[in-house]
Amino acid sequence: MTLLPELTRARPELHARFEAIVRQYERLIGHVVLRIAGRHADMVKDDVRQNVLIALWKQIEREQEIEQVASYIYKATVREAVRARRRETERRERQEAVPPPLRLAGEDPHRALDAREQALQLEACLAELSVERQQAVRAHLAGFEVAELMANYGWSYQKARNLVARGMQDLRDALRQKGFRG
Amino acid sequence: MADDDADLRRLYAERMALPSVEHVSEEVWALLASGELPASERAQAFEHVSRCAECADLYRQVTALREEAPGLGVPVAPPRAASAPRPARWLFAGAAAAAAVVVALLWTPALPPGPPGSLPPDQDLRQGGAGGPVPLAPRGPLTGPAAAFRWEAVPDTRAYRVELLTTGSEVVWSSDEVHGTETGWPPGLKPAPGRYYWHVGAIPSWSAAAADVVWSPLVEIELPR
Repeated sequence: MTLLPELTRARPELHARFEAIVRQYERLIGHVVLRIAGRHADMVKDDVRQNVLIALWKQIEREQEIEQVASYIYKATVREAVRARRRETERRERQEAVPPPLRLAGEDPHRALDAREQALQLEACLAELSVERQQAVRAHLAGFEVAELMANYGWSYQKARNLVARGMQDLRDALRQKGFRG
Repeated sequence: MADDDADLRRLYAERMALPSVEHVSEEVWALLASGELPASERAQAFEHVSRCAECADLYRQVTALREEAPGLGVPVAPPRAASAPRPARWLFAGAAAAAAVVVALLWTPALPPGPPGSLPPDQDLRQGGAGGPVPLAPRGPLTGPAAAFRWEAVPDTRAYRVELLTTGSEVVWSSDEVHGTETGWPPGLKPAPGRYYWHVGAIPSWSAAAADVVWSPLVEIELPR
């Protein structure tokens, strides 16, 4: 235990409890950081851990009861890991200083512009769909399965499938009308 | 459908990769990871997730984490029942003005009711709606092989049909017509352990058309190893 030594040892009566909790949930924190931060995990894990433990110590220091310690640490780690992941992503994007769509499309600038133009056409056609069909089609094109649509939108299986099928048909019709050549 | 849509999916990935001003907030991710995010806010978050590559990737990680949480000693709440939409001002990080626009866009009012007897667009009331069969068993995690599928009877029904589906909506097994409110688990049906859905359709006495079958809501089951 090398973090927060000054803070925690100033309150010896709470220090032992804090250390016991940290030992118990060390693996949980590490797992959440790895899952959320992914390729940035090595870069951010120390910061995330430190912020989670500071928040935990503040709770303990105030002698506030933590009802579900595991849940508390789990959620605090998710929050901190998401923040850290975003900071790291932004930092890297600033360094690279190339707009993501151009990177995705490859090296050829003409192809990149063409792809961007087509993506804008697609977006315009999507915007013409009814709200629910648009939700279904966007989720489908983003690669989510019907079960995710059901779970998140509260739709029945059949409704979700119908919305995807009808929405995709509408989208193709709209793209054809705009002369889409994709 | 997936193969036909591959080109559009690639194109949509380009669109999703466009930088987004707002993202789902850290607090929402924490609640989603613990299964505590109310249904209405889950829908709002998922709508954004479907448009934003960064949040879509995070969603997949958080969803996987939620599955792993019990194994890490973290109790995860079951999904909350759907409730009326309510303000979620903290849903998206970013400027308050931008957030207000997003909330306004997300609060699409329900479509006005159509003429009497008409169905609202895409709302297939025959599927899982009022009047459909009510599945009784099996439900949830199973400790052993399921003995039978059982459901409550529906008036004016000639027969029933049961389907077992994967979470990816592939039909694993479909029964013949069943006369009664129970059918045994087929002896030869041994899908891999994991999550599945089943539902039961009531074939009305006045029609044999597939479009007139009244389906129950899907029931999740988990087959043991």
